[in-house]
Amino acid sequence: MPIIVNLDVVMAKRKIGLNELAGKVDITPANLSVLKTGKARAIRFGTLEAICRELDCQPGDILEFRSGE
Amino acid sequence: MKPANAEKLARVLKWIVTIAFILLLALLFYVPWLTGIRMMLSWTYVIKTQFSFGAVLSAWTVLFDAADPWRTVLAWFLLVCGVCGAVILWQGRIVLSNLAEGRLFARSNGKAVVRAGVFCFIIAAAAAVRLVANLVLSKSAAPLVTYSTFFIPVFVIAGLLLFVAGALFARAAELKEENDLVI
Repeated sequence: MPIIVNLDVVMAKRKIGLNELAGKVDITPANLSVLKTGKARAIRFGTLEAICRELDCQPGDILEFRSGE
Repeated sequence: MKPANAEKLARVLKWIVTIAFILLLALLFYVPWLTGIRMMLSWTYVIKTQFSFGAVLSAWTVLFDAADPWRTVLAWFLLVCGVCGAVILWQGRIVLSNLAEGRLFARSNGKAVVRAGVFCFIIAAAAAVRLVANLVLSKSAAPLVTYSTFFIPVFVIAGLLLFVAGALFARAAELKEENDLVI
Protein backbone atom coordinates (compact mmCIF):
# COMPACT_ATOMS: atom_id res chain seq x y z
CA MET A 1 0.00 0.00 0.00
CA PRO A 2 1.47 3.43 -0.88
CA ILE A 3 0.32 4.93 2.45
CA ILE A 4 3.18 4.67 4.94
CA VAL A 5 2.59 4.93 8.69
CA ASN A 6 5.42 6.80 10.42
CA LEU A 7 3.97 6.42 13.90
CA ASP A 8 7.10 4.65 15.18
CA VAL A 9 9.29 7.60 14.07
CA VAL A 10 7.07 10.17 15.78
CA MET A 11 6.85 8.00 18.92
CA ALA A 12 10.64 7.70 19.03
CA LYS A 13 11.00 11.49 18.66
CA ARG A 14 8.55 12.05 21.53
CA LYS A 15 10.19 9.22 23.55
CA ILE A 16 6.86 7.56 24.27
CA GLY A 17 6.26 3.81 24.50
CA LEU A 18 3.52 1.75 22.86
CA ASN A 19 1.68 0.91 26.08
CA GLU A 20 1.82 4.49 27.34
CA LEU A 21 0.45 5.92 24.09
CA ALA A 22 -2.21 3.19 23.89
CA GLY A 23 -3.38 4.13 27.39
CA LYS A 24 -3.48 7.85 26.53
CA VAL A 25 -5.44 7.44 23.27
CA ASP A 26 -7.67 4.75 24.81
CA ILE A 27 -7.04 1.90 22.36
CA THR A 28 -5.51 -1.52 23.04
CA PRO A 29 -1.72 -1.94 22.66
CA ALA A 30 -2.47 -4.74 20.16
CA ASN A 31 -4.45 -2.35 17.93
CA LEU A 32 -1.81 0.37 18.26
CA SER A 33 0.81 -2.20 17.28
CA VAL A 34 -1.23 -3.09 14.16
CA LEU A 35 -1.25 0.62 13.26
CA LYS A 36 2.45 1.10 14.05
CA THR A 37 3.56 -1.84 11.92
CA GLY A 38 1.53 -0.66 8.93
CA LYS A 39 -0.88 -3.61 8.93
CA ALA A 40 -4.00 -1.47 9.48
CA ARG A 41 -6.47 -1.06 6.60
CA ALA A 42 -7.95 2.19 7.89
CA ILE A 43 -7.79 4.64 10.77
CA ARG A 44 -10.75 6.38 12.38
CA PHE A 45 -10.65 10.18 12.58
CA GLY A 46 -11.22 9.85 16.33
CA THR A 47 -8.12 7.68 16.75
CA LEU A 48 -6.02 9.96 14.52
CA GLU A 49 -7.19 13.00 16.45
CA ALA A 50 -6.27 11.38 19.80
CA ILE A 51 -2.82 10.32 18.54
CA CYS A 52 -2.09 13.79 17.10
CA ARG A 53 -3.21 15.42 20.37
CA GLU A 54 -1.03 13.15 22.52
CA LEU A 55 2.02 13.32 20.26
CA ASP A 56 1.51 17.01 19.49
CA CYS A 57 1.86 16.50 15.75
CA GLN A 58 -0.09 16.74 12.47
CA PRO A 59 -1.74 13.80 10.62
CA GLY A 60 0.85 14.32 7.89
CA ASP A 61 3.63 13.53 10.36
CA ILE A 62 2.11 10.10 10.97
CA LEU A 63 0.82 9.26 7.50
CA GLU A 64 2.79 9.63 4.28
CA PHE A 65 1.93 8.90 0.64
CA ARG A 66 4.66 7.31 -1.47
CA SER A 67 3.73 6.50 -5.07
CA GLY A 68 4.88 3.29 -6.72
CA GLU A 69 5.13 1.20 -3.54
CA MET B 1 -17.03 -13.20 29.76
CA LYS B 2 -20.38 -14.92 30.29
CA PRO B 3 -21.36 -17.01 27.24
CA ALA B 4 -24.33 -15.65 25.30
CA ASN B 5 -27.50 -17.72 24.92
CA ALA B 6 -26.62 -18.55 21.32
CA GLU B 7 -23.27 -19.97 22.45
CA LYS B 8 -24.93 -22.12 25.12
CA LEU B 9 -27.46 -23.36 22.58
CA ALA B 10 -24.67 -24.12 20.10
CA ARG B 11 -22.87 -26.16 22.77
CA VAL B 12 -26.00 -28.26 23.43
CA LEU B 13 -26.63 -28.68 19.69
CA LYS B 14 -23.02 -29.73 19.17
CA TRP B 15 -23.50 -32.60 21.61
CA ILE B 16 -26.76 -33.66 19.93
CA VAL B 17 -25.09 -33.57 16.50
CA THR B 18 -22.11 -35.56 17.84
CA ILE B 19 -24.42 -38.26 19.23
CA ALA B 20 -26.37 -38.36 15.94
CA PHE B 21 -23.08 -38.65 14.03
CA ILE B 22 -21.90 -41.61 16.16
CA LEU B 23 -25.31 -43.34 15.88
CA LEU B 24 -25.29 -42.83 12.11
CA LEU B 25 -21.81 -44.34 11.80
CA ALA B 26 -22.96 -47.35 13.85
CA LEU B 27 -26.09 -47.66 11.71
CA LEU B 28 -24.03 -47.62 8.50
CA PHE B 29 -22.64 -51.04 9.42
CA TYR B 30 -26.21 -52.44 9.41
CA VAL B 31 -27.31 -50.85 6.11
CA PRO B 32 -26.97 -53.93 3.84
CA TRP B 33 -28.62 -56.07 6.52
CA LEU B 34 -31.48 -53.57 6.96
CA THR B 35 -32.30 -53.77 3.24
CA GLY B 36 -33.26 -57.43 3.74
CA ILE B 37 -35.68 -56.91 6.63
CA ARG B 38 -38.81 -56.49 4.50
CA MET B 39 -38.27 -60.00 3.16
CA MET B 40 -38.26 -61.51 6.63
CA LEU B 41 -41.25 -62.78 8.54
CA SER B 42 -41.33 -60.66 11.71
CA TRP B 43 -39.17 -58.68 14.10
CA THR B 44 -39.08 -61.68 16.48
CA TYR B 45 -37.69 -63.76 13.66
CA VAL B 46 -35.23 -61.00 12.79
CA ILE B 47 -33.94 -60.64 16.35
CA LYS B 48 -33.77 -64.39 17.14
CA THR B 49 -32.23 -65.71 13.98
CA GLN B 50 -30.79 -62.92 11.88
CA PHE B 51 -29.45 -60.31 14.28
CA SER B 52 -26.06 -61.88 14.74
CA PHE B 53 -22.71 -60.31 13.89
CA GLY B 54 -22.11 -62.97 11.23
CA ALA B 55 -25.47 -62.40 9.59
CA VAL B 56 -24.95 -58.63 9.54
CA LEU B 57 -21.44 -59.02 8.15
CA SER B 58 -22.45 -61.52 5.47
CA ALA B 59 -25.25 -59.14 4.37
CA TRP B 60 -22.52 -56.87 2.94
CA THR B 61 -22.27 -59.25 -0.04
CA VAL B 62 -25.61 -57.76 -1.17
CA LEU B 63 -23.63 -54.78 -2.54
CA PHE B 64 -22.33 -57.04 -5.32
CA ASP B 65 -25.28 -59.42 -5.58
CA ALA B 66 -26.51 -59.52 -9.18
CA ALA B 67 -29.31 -61.94 -8.24
CA ASP B 68 -31.23 -59.28 -6.29
CA PRO B 69 -30.63 -55.98 -8.13
CA TRP B 70 -33.43 -54.10 -6.26
CA ARG B 71 -31.81 -54.80 -2.93
CA THR B 72 -28.32 -54.06 -4.30
CA VAL B 73 -29.45 -50.65 -5.62
CA LEU B 74 -31.21 -49.87 -2.32
CA ALA B 75 -28.14 -50.91 -0.29
CA TRP B 76 -25.79 -48.71 -2.36
CA PHE B 77 -28.25 -45.80 -2.19
CA LEU B 78 -28.63 -46.04 1.59
CA LEU B 79 -24.88 -46.43 2.03
CA VAL B 80 -24.11 -43.31 -0.05
CA CYS B 81 -26.85 -41.36 1.77
CA GLY B 82 -25.51 -42.56 5.12
CA VAL B 83 -21.90 -41.57 4.37
CA CYS B 84 -23.00 -38.19 2.96
CA GLY B 85 -25.30 -37.67 5.96
CA ALA B 86 -22.39 -38.37 8.31
CA VAL B 87 -20.18 -35.86 6.47
CA ILE B 88 -22.98 -33.24 6.60
CA LEU B 89 -23.42 -33.83 10.34
CA TRP B 90 -19.66 -33.43 10.84
CA GLN B 91 -19.71 -30.10 8.96
CA GLY B 92 -22.60 -29.02 11.20
CA ARG B 93 -20.46 -29.97 14.19
CA ILE B 94 -17.59 -27.79 12.90
CA VAL B 95 -19.93 -24.77 12.56
CA LEU B 96 -21.48 -25.38 15.99
CA SER B 97 -18.01 -25.72 17.58
CA ASN B 98 -17.06 -22.33 16.17
CA LEU B 99 -20.34 -20.78 17.35
CA ALA B 100 -19.92 -22.31 20.83
CA GLU B 101 -16.49 -20.67 21.09
CA GLY B 102 -17.90 -17.33 19.94
CA ARG B 103 -16.25 -17.43 16.52
CA LEU B 104 -19.31 -16.49 14.48
CA PHE B 105 -17.42 -15.12 11.52
CA ALA B 106 -14.68 -17.72 11.07
CA ARG B 107 -13.69 -18.63 7.51
CA SER B 108 -13.96 -22.33 8.39
CA ASN B 109 -17.73 -21.85 8.91
CA GLY B 110 -18.19 -20.85 5.27
CA LYS B 111 -16.05 -23.73 4.02
CA ALA B 112 -17.92 -26.27 6.19
CA VAL B 113 -21.32 -25.04 4.98
CA VAL B 114 -20.23 -25.22 1.31
CA ARG B 115 -18.84 -28.74 1.89
CA ALA B 116 -22.22 -29.77 3.38
CA GLY B 117 -23.86 -28.35 0.23
CA VAL B 118 -21.62 -30.48 -2.00
CA PHE B 119 -22.66 -33.61 -0.10
CA CYS B 120 -26.33 -32.64 -0.46
CA PHE B 121 -25.76 -32.63 -4.24
CA ILE B 122 -24.15 -36.09 -3.97
CA ILE B 123 -27.27 -37.40 -2.18
CA ALA B 124 -29.45 -35.87 -4.91
CA ALA B 125 -27.24 -37.53 -7.56
CA ALA B 126 -27.48 -40.89 -5.74
CA ALA B 127 -31.27 -40.55 -5.64
CA ALA B 128 -31.28 -39.77 -9.38
CA VAL B 129 -29.13 -42.84 -10.12
CA ARG B 130 -31.42 -45.01 -7.97
CA LEU B 131 -34.47 -43.62 -9.76
CA VAL B 132 -33.01 -44.43 -13.19
CA ALA B 133 -31.94 -47.91 -12.02
CA ASN B 134 -35.42 -48.61 -10.63
CA LEU B 135 -37.07 -47.33 -13.81
CA VAL B 136 -34.91 -49.71 -15.85
CA LEU B 137 -35.50 -52.63 -13.47
CA SER B 138 -39.28 -52.16 -13.20
CA LYS B 139 -39.78 -51.14 -16.86
CA SER B 140 -42.60 -48.89 -15.64
CA ALA B 141 -43.13 -45.36 -14.31
CA ALA B 142 -43.94 -46.61 -10.79
CA PRO B 143 -40.57 -45.61 -9.24
CA LEU B 144 -41.39 -41.98 -10.10
CA VAL B 145 -43.71 -41.85 -7.08
CA THR B 146 -41.24 -43.04 -4.43
CA TYR B 147 -39.40 -41.12 -1.71
CA SER B 148 -36.09 -41.25 -3.59
CA THR B 149 -37.66 -39.20 -6.42
CA PHE B 150 -38.69 -36.67 -3.79
CA PHE B 151 -35.07 -36.65 -2.54
CA ILE B 152 -33.76 -35.15 -5.82
CA PRO B 153 -35.39 -31.66 -5.71
CA VAL B 154 -35.22 -31.47 -1.91
CA PHE B 155 -31.47 -32.10 -1.74
CA VAL B 156 -30.70 -29.96 -4.81
CA ILE B 157 -32.53 -27.02 -3.17
CA ALA B 158 -30.83 -27.77 0.19
CA GLY B 159 -27.43 -27.84 -1.56
CA LEU B 160 -28.09 -24.53 -3.31
CA LEU B 161 -29.25 -22.90 -0.06
CA LEU B 162 -26.12 -24.16 1.71
CA PHE B 163 -23.96 -22.74 -1.11
CA VAL B 164 -25.62 -19.33 -0.64
CA ALA B 165 -25.23 -19.59 3.16
CA GLY B 166 -21.56 -20.56 2.71
CA ALA B 167 -20.96 -17.52 0.48
CA LEU B 168 -22.63 -15.30 3.11
CA PHE B 169 -20.45 -16.78 5.87
CA ALA B 170 -17.32 -16.21 3.75
CA ARG B 171 -18.32 -12.58 3.05
CA ALA B 172 -19.06 -12.01 6.76
CA ALA B 173 -15.62 -13.42 7.67
CA GLU B 174 -13.99 -11.05 5.11
CA LEU B 175 -15.88 -8.05 6.53
CA LYS B 176 -14.89 -8.99 10.07
CA GLU B 177 -11.21 -9.30 9.10
CA GLU B 178 -11.46 -5.88 7.40
CA ASN B 179 -13.17 -4.39 10.45
CA ASP B 180 -10.52 -5.83 12.78
CA LEU B 181 -7.88 -3.86 10.84
CA VAL B 182 -9.69 -0.53 11.24
CA ILE B 183 -8.04 1.19 14.20
